Amino acid sequence: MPVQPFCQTASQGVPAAVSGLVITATSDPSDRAAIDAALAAAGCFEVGPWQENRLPVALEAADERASREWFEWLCGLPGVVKVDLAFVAWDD
Amino acid sequence: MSGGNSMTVGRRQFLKLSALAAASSLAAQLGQAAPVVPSVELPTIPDVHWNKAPCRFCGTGCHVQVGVKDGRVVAIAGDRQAEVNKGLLCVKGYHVGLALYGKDRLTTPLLRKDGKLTPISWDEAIDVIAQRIQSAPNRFAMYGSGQWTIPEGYAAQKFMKGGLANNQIDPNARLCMSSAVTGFLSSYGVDEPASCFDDLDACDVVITWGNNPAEMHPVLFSRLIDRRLRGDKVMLIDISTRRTRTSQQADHYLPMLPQGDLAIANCIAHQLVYGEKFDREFVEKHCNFRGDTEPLTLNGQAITFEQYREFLKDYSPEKVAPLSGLSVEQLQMLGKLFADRQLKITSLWCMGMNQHTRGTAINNLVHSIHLLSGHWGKPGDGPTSLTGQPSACGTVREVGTLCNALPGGRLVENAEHRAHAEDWWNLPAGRINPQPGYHTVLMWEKFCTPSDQGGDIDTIWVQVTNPGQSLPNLHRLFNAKKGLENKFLIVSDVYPTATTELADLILPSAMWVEKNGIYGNSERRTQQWFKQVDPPGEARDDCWQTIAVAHRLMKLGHAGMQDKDGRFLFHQADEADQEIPIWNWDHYYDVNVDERLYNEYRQFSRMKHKDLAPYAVLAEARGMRWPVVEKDDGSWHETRWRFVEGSDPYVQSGQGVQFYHSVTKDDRALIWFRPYSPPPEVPDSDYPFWLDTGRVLEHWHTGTLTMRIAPLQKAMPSAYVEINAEDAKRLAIRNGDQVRLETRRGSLELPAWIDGRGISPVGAVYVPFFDERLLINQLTLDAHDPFSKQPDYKKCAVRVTKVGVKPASNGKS
Repeated sequence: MPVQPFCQTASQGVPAAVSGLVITATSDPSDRAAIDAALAAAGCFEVGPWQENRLPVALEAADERASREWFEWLCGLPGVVKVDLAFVAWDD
Repeated sequence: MSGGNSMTVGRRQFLKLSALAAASSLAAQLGQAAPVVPSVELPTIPDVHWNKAPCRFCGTGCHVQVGVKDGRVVAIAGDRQAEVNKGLLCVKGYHVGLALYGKDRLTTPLLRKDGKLTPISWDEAIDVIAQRIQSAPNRFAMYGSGQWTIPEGYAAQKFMKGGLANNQIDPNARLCMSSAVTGFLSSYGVDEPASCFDDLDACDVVITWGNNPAEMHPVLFSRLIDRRLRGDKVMLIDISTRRTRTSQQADHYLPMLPQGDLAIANCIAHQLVYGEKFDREFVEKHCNFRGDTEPLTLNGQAITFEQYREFLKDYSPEKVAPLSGLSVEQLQMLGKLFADRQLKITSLWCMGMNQHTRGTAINNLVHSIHLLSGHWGKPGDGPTSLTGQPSACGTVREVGTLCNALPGGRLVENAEHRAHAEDWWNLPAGRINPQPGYHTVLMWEKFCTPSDQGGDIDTIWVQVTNPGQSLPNLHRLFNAKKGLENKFLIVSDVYPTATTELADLILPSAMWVEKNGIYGNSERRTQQWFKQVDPPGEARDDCWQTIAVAHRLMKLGHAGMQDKDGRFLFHQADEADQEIPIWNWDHYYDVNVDERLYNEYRQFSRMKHKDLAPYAVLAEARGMRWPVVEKDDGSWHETRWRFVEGSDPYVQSGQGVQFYHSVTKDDRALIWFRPYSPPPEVPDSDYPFWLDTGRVLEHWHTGTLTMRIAPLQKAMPSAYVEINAEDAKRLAIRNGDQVRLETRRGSLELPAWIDGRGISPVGAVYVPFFDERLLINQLTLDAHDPFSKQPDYKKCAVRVTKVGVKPASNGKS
């Protein structure tokens, strides 16, 4: 079975102001560690605990463009299989 | 990339915690095989109130939770109690709330005076329409859509057929799923899928027939992908004329020639029959065979199995390979899959099979191979058609807002059906016109023809759709209206569109959660929501607009706007039996008009065993799939698989499967032979490429809403022509170069995207239709299926010429 990221929102705009996302990773533990490290270095993600190979995160970005870029970046991380949106809120 | 602090830290922090909580809940849910939870706490944000609604966009029917603060929608969350989406939404769904807040919302009625659109009052607008209709009621038509709510469509239907005795009403769904309708009718005797989305959770094999759910129905596609991620083996086979995001995930991508689907389906049947691999027991018990008549008729004629076998003779893999574009091995693989009765096979299709000059035929054939092989009626095992609009099923197919239909799957040509409707609408006998009106293509052709040259439709009222962009062959079917005398176009919409460009009167409409509503999705699921915010300015409900015009016509003396007791066609009374003046906007919400109309309509739903749930039950549910019947304990039972014992309450005990509306009146479905025929227009030396059109993930239909949602617009800002790298090289076209497309109907210049989102094969190009600045439907073909009257947007001949190079970054070419 091909393992390509199915980021239905990949390369598109995503969250406006604040968004909740679920990252689905491969089952390889080293991939998860690399994803943890990348998110920590990025500095704009609030990260929840891993649930098997799924990681809930909150993303806060300056504007829609930045949100989109961060989303694309997430989808392109090694070991990321899929990114789902769970919540979107935007400025009043 | 950078983080930001444009909002107050306190609120941002709160939103972040809410977002993380929502993501954590969803992460837990995604890991479960049956992840619908009975109750869920929503993100707690100060002063934000949450309520449910189905998404405004496609036919999947996802439920969202809408967060409202101070009269504005400020947040959206996936609804985890919804069986359809189980908390997930696609990128369009998450931004659906922003569709309300485009800067150019229409907020006041506008009448074209001396060529200029001029604000007028609602009273004047209603008067203009009523006078126009009163002057020539039989030259008036209504053009609606699968985005009409059920009460809106029902009101329009009753107004036209019951009030005006005029069947000139048709919806844009004619352009997207009418071939599915005729396919179901001629296979099972009754419309709409027997299967449901639960099949996606149970199938072993999914075959997408010219279908790209990864972009068009992404939440359904996610269900498949999630199963794979949980370790389930689900084989995905994509039969398509171009590589798409669905192809990327497929185990087998089968590149098909345009119109090759007919030959492929017959080839599968050939292998089942000649290899003695069909399900003889299922066929003998539940099926009859059917073939074409001359001239063609929807229900054809009975044929024997031996005749069927003979018809299939020429569809061996070896003979079908050159017709279909598939290899002999690929065709044999499909034959073997259908011959394996241990597998559960789900077929999915949408526009690829429906927008087809042989749309009815290919729908029949896909049903037929499932019936023939016995891959029918078990969870995960059956044919499932998808729709593109949120209520194409609910409003068009069930309410029957088609030129030949009455509510509840009834027909205007049938005297008994008309009598029923007249009785329930309390109309004098003989009120309903037995002559079907014009289907969409013919309606617009008549409108765009001078009145003295046979153009006998002079006024069209368009609600909730954008034909100026979505009709095929736009120059002939829409743009030709320009300059014609005595043609008057009325458009009810929320934003300016390609259609309002030619409108003589524009009415500002409320949309989605600015009004009450009910939709019916692709799997027979009826979904209700309540109004949550006010519409802007003077925008008002489409349903009110129809009722207000009906009442004004009554005041002008139109007898049809009264029932046989002299009461208003849309009479509503309070508990003291005093009339509620719902035609007056100030009183429209004195009563829940949606609920009243739904209750009236609901009785029709029982005529074809499509029983709908009570309004109050729907108000508590995330939709229910009909037939919905009351059980002895007072609870309401929905139906997942129609015609299947144990699921469908109308199947008699001991029958197993019972096609109780069958064409042949013997509870049997029809296995059809429909021959392959070539497409109506094929590439030649003048127009050497194939042109295919369709949609993209970010934009919904004509982009009227999604192009006003900044994240979606920025992600996919304009249309493009997708071209194969080999063709691009041969024509010296680079990414971004300007390319002219020309067909026999028109021409258009667009930027090239070489092997972009999808990959068109050599000799073919693809253009999405969402961009109102680049109207690809000026080029498309209006040739249509003989039964469904649905045009083919998927294949015509086009010339491709490079006309300019992409501007360099310094602005110099």
